[in-house]
Amino acid sequence: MSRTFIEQLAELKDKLARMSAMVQQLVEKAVESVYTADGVLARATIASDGRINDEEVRIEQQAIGLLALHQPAASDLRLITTVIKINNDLERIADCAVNVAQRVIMLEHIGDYEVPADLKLMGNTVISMLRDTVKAFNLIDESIARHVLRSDDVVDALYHQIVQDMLVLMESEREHAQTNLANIMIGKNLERIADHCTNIAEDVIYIYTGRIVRHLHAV
Amino acid sequence: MSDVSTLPEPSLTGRAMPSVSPMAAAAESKTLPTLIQASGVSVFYGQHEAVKSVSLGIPQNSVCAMIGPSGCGKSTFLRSINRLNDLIPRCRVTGELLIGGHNIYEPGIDMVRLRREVGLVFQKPNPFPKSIYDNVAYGPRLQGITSRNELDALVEDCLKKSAIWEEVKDRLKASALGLSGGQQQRLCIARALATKPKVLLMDEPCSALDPIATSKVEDLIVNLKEQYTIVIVTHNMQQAARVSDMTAFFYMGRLIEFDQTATIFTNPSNKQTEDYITGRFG
Repeated sequence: MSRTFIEQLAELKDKLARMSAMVQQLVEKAVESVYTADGVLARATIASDGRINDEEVRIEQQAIGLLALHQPAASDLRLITTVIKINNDLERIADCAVNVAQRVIMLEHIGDYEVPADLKLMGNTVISMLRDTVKAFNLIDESIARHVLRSDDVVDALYHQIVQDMLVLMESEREHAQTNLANIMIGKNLERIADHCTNIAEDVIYIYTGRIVRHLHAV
Repeated sequence: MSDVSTLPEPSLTGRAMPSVSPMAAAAESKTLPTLIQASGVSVFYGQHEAVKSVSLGIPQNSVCAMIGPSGCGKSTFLRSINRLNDLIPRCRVTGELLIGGHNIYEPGIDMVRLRREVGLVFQKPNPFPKSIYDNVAYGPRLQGITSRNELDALVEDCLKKSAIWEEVKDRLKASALGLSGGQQQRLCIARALATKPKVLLMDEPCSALDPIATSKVEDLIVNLKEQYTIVIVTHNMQQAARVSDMTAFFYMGRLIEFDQTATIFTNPSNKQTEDYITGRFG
């Protein structure tokens, strides 16, 4: 394969690494806006999404170009096809972060918003998961990727707990129904972010081992 | 799966790449019986060992691609499957090469029958300076077939199998040298099929053809495997990936890796194979 191809492949991987850093920052800002009920930060988070959408398109175009022009094989092929998938997952993660930020803006007029402890724990866990996911891709590290897969169970359990708690509260405190519903929706989007992280972690394992571990429960 | 390399296998990132399950690959290839079985085959040109103790089993009715850099021994190994190397002075073959369970290097083997059963198509189309019809009928006539009807049917059948019948049926008596390169190559394949071989060897059959002719020959190869076992040497990685079921990677006379083509091109076990098919060396 030509030197140009190897350089372009490295450039593609760097671009995705930069994109993942941008998405990580966006999620951190969205979660922070929930913790602080900060509408200004939430709006800034939403405004950042446009750059991520543009970058997603650029990365996809470059990846398709490499496939069409160089017909890569083996680890190169695995990397490029996986970059296309991870790119898509990252963009969806950013969309979930925007959804979270939008809920914060809706809560602005309610005032005295307090984050439930489990939702805060969930937010911290998801941020940590996303950091590990980005690290797993940057280092193509299978063990970190498997750690991400295991973390998803914690996030799922927290989400179900939040839904249960909010339903109970909605029964007893009907006047706070909007806040409780917002908590469920924020939890739902955080849970979706965790799901996208597991997709990416599975793709990292594929790059490293060539084995598709999706839908296999033993991690 | 057969991985005969003894070299260490650091990955591109400096770590060892784990290999896929050999059991999975073996299970897939077990669906077809082995027709060609090489065990410790070495080919020497004088003192030079061009092929070094190669062992592999090629399933019947499959296409096996041999890839590797120039001088790696793949064509030499291919030619040893119909003992064409015997024609080279000071060439010596050791080990055991079985086709359908019979060792073709056994003393007293019927060479005419072997070459009839193991056809060869060369890199450059080499039709005889005869008519299209006579090119295909040449082998059967040597075998003693004289009946006009029988020859007509055979010529038509072989030209149809070689996907060239529609293009030449109205000019069978015209010179084969007037055909285009791609047509000539398909005619050569028809000529090879006329002796009813079990195995078809192809030594870079598309390297002298344009993309359209290449595509026709590739389609033909895929169709022909229903009736024949095909071994093809190619420098074109995409061609190997497109047409073959199994791929053997040779390097410096050794068989480095032999596995399902899909595995070789997506997740090879060996670092040297990975480097070659991704264009890092060779």
